[in-house]
Order: sequence, then C-alpha cells, then structure tokens
Amino acid sequence: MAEIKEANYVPLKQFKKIPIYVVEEHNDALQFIYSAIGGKKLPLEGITLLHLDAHPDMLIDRKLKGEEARSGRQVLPLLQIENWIVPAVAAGHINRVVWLRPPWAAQFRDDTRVVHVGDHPITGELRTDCKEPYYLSDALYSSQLVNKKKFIFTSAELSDSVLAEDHNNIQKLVTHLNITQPYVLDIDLDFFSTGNPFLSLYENIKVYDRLQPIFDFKLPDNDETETIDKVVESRERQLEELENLFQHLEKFDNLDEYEGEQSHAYHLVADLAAAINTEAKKLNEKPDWRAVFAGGCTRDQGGLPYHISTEQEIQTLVKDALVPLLQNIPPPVLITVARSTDDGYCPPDQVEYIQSLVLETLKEIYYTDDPALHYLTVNTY
Amino acid sequence: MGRRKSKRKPPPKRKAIEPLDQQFNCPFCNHEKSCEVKMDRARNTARIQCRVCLEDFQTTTNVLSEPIDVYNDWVDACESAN
Repeated sequence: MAEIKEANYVPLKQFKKIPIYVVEEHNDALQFIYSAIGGKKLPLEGITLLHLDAHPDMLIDRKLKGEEARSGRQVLPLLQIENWIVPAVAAGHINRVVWLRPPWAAQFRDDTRVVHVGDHPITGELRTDCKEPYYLSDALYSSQLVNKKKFIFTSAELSDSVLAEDHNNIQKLVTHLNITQPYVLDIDLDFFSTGNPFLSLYENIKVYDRLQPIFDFKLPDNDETETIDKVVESRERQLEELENLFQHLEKFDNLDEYEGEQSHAYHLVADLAAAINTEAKKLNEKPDWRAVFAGGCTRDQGGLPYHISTEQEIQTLVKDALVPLLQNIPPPVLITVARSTDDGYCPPDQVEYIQSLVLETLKEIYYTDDPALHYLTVNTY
Repeated sequence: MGRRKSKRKPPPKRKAIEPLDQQFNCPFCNHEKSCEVKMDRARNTARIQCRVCLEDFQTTTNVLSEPIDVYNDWVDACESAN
C-alpha cells in the first residue's frame, strides 16, 4: 500500500493546461472552483476571485445559514446567480474578491475595503458587517457576527476609456489590483453588453417604474451602528411585508382576503395588482407575480445596470480592456465563464458573438484546455 | 418566494450540479469500476481499494474532496512512481 502523505502539508497540484468552464447561470461556476480545491489544484483557503461582471453577485440569501455555507458542496444547490460568492468567502476558501465592472455598472463605489462575513449570533443566518447600500438595502448587515471571516473586496472600472487616457494607466490599474496567484478568473459575458429583463415587464403600464416607490429604501443619515441597526430592522420588516403581499397575490391574484395590516405598502401593492390584472387580461396571460416581486427587489438602488453595446463597443472592450489586463497579470489557475443569457442579462442575440470573442482571446493569451461547455449538458427539464 | 435580484422566472427543474463518479477503473488490474473510495471526513483522509486485485491507496483530503480526487491522487502517485 502506498504511504499516506504528510498530513499537515498538501502541496498543490497543477493543471497541465488552464481549464475553462462555460456555464449558463453564474452560480454554476462555483462547483468547478470547489472541484479544483477538492482536487488540490487550488488551496483550501486564500483564493482570489477576479470577477468581471456587470453585477457584483455579492448578495447573501437572507435565509442561508452560516453552517450551510460551510457545508462544502452541499451549499451549491442553495445558491443563485446573485449570491454565489459570499458563501465561498464564509467557508474560508476565497479571501479576496476583485469586482471589475463595465462603466455602466455602479452597485458599489470603486474602492478597496475589508469586509467580514459570519453568522448572525441569534438566527445563525449569514450576514456581513459591510455598511454599504448594496447590503443595507437587503437588510444583510449585522453589527455582531460569529464564525467571522475577513475578506478584502476591491471594486474598480475596467474599460477601454479608463485605459486609453494615459499609456501608463494599465500599469496603474494592475498595481492597484495587485492580482496574485492563486486566483480564479471569472468572466460574465454580460460585462460586455448588459440587458435588464425587468424593463420589459408589463412595459405598457410601466411596472418597473411603478415598483420604485413600493420598494423604496432610505439610506441611514449616519453610519453609527445604532442607526444602521434600526434601519436594517425596519427594512427587514418592509421586505417581509412585501414578500407576504406578493405571496398572497401568487395564490389569489388579488389582496381581497389578505389578513395582514392594511398599511401604506398594502395600498400601493393593491393598486399595482389591479393594474397588472387588467394588463394581463389584455395580454391573455396569468399575472407573473413572482417576476414583479423580483423586479421590485432590484429597484432599491435605482435599478439594475442596462447597456446594450454595439458590436464595435464589444470588440473594443475585449481588445482594449480585457486583453491588456490579462497580459499584465499572472495566469489564473482556472477560468470560469458565465453566459447569463437565458434570464436576459446578456442579450440573446449577442451572447454567441461575445462568447466566441472571449474564448478566442483566452486561448490566445493562455495555454488552455478546450473550453468545457457545461451549459450544453445541463438538463433543464 | 425568494428575494431574487436576477431571475425573471422561477428556475426550471434542472440538474446543473454535475454528479461525481463514485467507482473507478483499477490502475493495476484494469478492471472497470472495481475501485471504491472510503472517505474519513473527520480525519481528512481517504482510502481507495480495488475489490478485484485488492491494491489500495490512502491520501489526505479536505472538506471539498470527493472520491474522484482520491482516485486522481492514486493515478498521480502511480505515474510519479513510474
């Protein structure tokens, strides 16, 4: 029998060629990162995620427990496209996230900050101590955390215009980002052209605009913990009420029998529901309350980014932003690519073009395996 | 109803998390799917053994290791021994 290896030190193995995994939904990328950790190609801790995307994907499922995040691969089926990164941080695998955004996305201010993530001491649900609007508006902040993990979070713009102004800008950006191995290069194709599926939701009656006052959220006027705790508590109640109202609509298509408080939100939702019912009848379809609620959840900070790029803009972003960046940082351990087109974030008529351009670029820069097209093997029924 | 940033519609029933292999071909006797892995999660170790030729191998694991990783360690060890 071969001898067991030294228990305390496991030297990392290396892929012969850099693997590229192409997934449809972005959260499906995490299984390949986890497999690389299990296969000793990535360390168990201390990984950097270099994340090019029009969306940060850094939310936390409000119901996800910290212990579920730390349960290894069992967490994978619990994740969605907007919340797949932070659980891997809570599990200790990723300790640095660099979010590179296109110019039209601004969910976080450009900065580098230290953030903690851990369990709420009473509920055990995963929370963060980050006080930025992205987390406050989802009531994900907690001043107290247990099983805390620290990570460094950098957000910065990556665009041809940022790099073009000055010849030294690429060096400045690379120095600022300080990408070191081991890291995972993760690219969402909606970085290059970004749709917003909620804009077309009952657009004749402007539902997306009408959701704004219903899901409205006032940021705290100072960042004292006591103030923020109060704002988060009140936001939590608001979200719960809205969720209850839309769950009722999902069952009955109206709020006639709703037993909760007939609050200001109740009246706003009831008026909107009446307008949607009329419109849905015209369209001869059942109202999609789930989509309306989901759309409302994106309205708290002014809505999701939207920018349909021209073919020329896409080419320029690849050639004059992606290529110089990748040529000036070390090669990643593995690459994940998300198409994000089935749900309308990468325009369906552009996704194949963007994908082929990006994959071609990666092949030119790195010594890669043929891309594993995971999205073609997923059983959707 | 989850509070979702991004989905237009509820996700279809799908199988996007790839199931991983549990049985493997023996690198010694070449029998198909004759090797099984026993993971000892508490000790972060695992053992793989061929039930035909009884060759076996033990290696360290981590919380994300799966049987395929144990088998790959075995194959790597065979390659470096050769």
